Amino acid sequence: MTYPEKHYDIIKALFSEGRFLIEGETAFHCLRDHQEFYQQFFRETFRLDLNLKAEYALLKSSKDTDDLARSICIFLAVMCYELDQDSGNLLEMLAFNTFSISEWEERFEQSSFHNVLEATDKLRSKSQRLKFYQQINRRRLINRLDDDRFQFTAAHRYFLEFARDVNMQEMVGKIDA
Amino acid sequence: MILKAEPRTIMRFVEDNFGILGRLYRTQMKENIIPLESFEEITRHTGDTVTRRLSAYKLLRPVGDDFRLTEEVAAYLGFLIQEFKPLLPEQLRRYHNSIDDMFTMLYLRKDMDDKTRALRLEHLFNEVQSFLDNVTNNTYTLLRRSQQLKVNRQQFTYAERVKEARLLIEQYIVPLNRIVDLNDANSIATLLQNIGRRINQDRFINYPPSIIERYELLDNLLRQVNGRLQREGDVIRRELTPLIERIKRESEVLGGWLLFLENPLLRTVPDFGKRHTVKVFGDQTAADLKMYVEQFMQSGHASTITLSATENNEQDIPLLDRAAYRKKLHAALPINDFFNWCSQELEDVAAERKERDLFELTSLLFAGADNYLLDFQDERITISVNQVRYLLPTLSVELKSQKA
Repeated sequence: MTYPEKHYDIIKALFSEGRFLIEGETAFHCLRDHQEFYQQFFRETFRLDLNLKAEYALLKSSKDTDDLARSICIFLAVMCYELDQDSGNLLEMLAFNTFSISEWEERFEQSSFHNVLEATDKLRSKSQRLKFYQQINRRRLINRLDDDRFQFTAAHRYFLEFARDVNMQEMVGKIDA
Repeated sequence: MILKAEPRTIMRFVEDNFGILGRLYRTQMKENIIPLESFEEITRHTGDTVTRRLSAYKLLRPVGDDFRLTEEVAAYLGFLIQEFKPLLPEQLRRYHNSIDDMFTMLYLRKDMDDKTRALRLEHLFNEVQSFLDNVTNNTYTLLRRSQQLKVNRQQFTYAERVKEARLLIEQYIVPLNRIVDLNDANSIATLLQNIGRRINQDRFINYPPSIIERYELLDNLLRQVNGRLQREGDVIRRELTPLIERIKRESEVLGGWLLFLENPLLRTVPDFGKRHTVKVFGDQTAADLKMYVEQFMQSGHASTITLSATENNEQDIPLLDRAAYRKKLHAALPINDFFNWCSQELEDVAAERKERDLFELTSLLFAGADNYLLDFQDERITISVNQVRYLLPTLSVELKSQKA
């Protein structure tokens, strides 16, 4: 049998590096073209589920506790809360704006959720946060444009969906009660 | 009838007191009437004359103890400050009946006299025009309301914003869209289109000029109707509905995050990718290595590790015996052509060493440069060593002491 052309890149990104594949990467298009094959491949080989959306793909680990995922959720939650105070559409700002790390350092310091950041290992201090940016850059959640500026990739929607789910569950819970 | 003043005087009064009238209009927009307390609050700093004239000029009408702006005045103020209360779709839908009725009446009696016909045409024209204006105002107002909701100036909570957005969609935007929808047989847009066709044909019937003129006017207006309603429909589809949808979506995301932040360290988080690195060393490697090293530590004496003898591939290249050659050089001095002498000396040397030795010989001269007199000539000689050809100067060498 022959493997798809970008097989190595796909496995390297999703499996070895545990990162998002983003629409626009050649490996992503190859993955989409061979969607069924890879769904099966990952399930049969590693017992892992492939999450393939229109704009990003991720190989889900079945870890119970993931520090990085939790840190990302906290990071995005605080950031969204702060962004909401600017005028403009939150979702558009996340998708298209360029963010300055140094500027956000100040905003995090002043945020009313600063205590939550402090309680999170990866977001505890400025130096920890710098490492965190490197990590999420490697996982392709953000694109670093230079030392200071970054943009979110389409992958941030994965976490926004999570937030919507939390909201939905709460609503449903309220209706049930 | 306003008996006490000329229209111009009233206009001037409106201009002078526009601030008060504006506030009264906004109050009425919010509360539907102007309660006595609000009225007193707004007019607290104005003189009696002004308050009296508001009533005398019939700008304001008492409703029980409270007040209300006269319908026309309110409409005019709304037009001036571009703030309207959005009409409920039911209020717009009544135009369907009125326009339809007026149109049917136009054809009810064949022997209608020209004067009545002209009058009815005029009314139909006014009604259509009024409908169009109201639709435009309504779209504009809804757009403003949703933008304000977006910016969230009133500091609503997310749940309130979603509720408000849903209200706007269900009560106003969807029905409004139905009214201007050309694909719906019951919409006012379709009715106007049908009327337009009929009017367009009828204006060629043999009527007196005054009626023809009215037909033309109506025809013109109805031609514009499609374009204008289309534009309103576009605004609704392209801006209003997505805007509201976005507010809803955005609020859901934010609401979710806020719930998450209530308990950020305990809530389950989404599955994330994991790095699966290929391990060269197994889990046991460190323990194995420790055991291996410990056996030497316990043995008490330094262990010697014998490396297996490797075959020596490097050949020792013997150096040129400089002392012997220097003697030879001294014996041969004075030499007229140094490199020629070199090549003779090196004739017996093995081919792979020749090149190296040639340079060694040359270095004899420079190592003892103080003792020799060197004379470079213009001529050059070619010496080939192992297929490499060197172009070298002719060089004569003498001992300094010989010259002296």
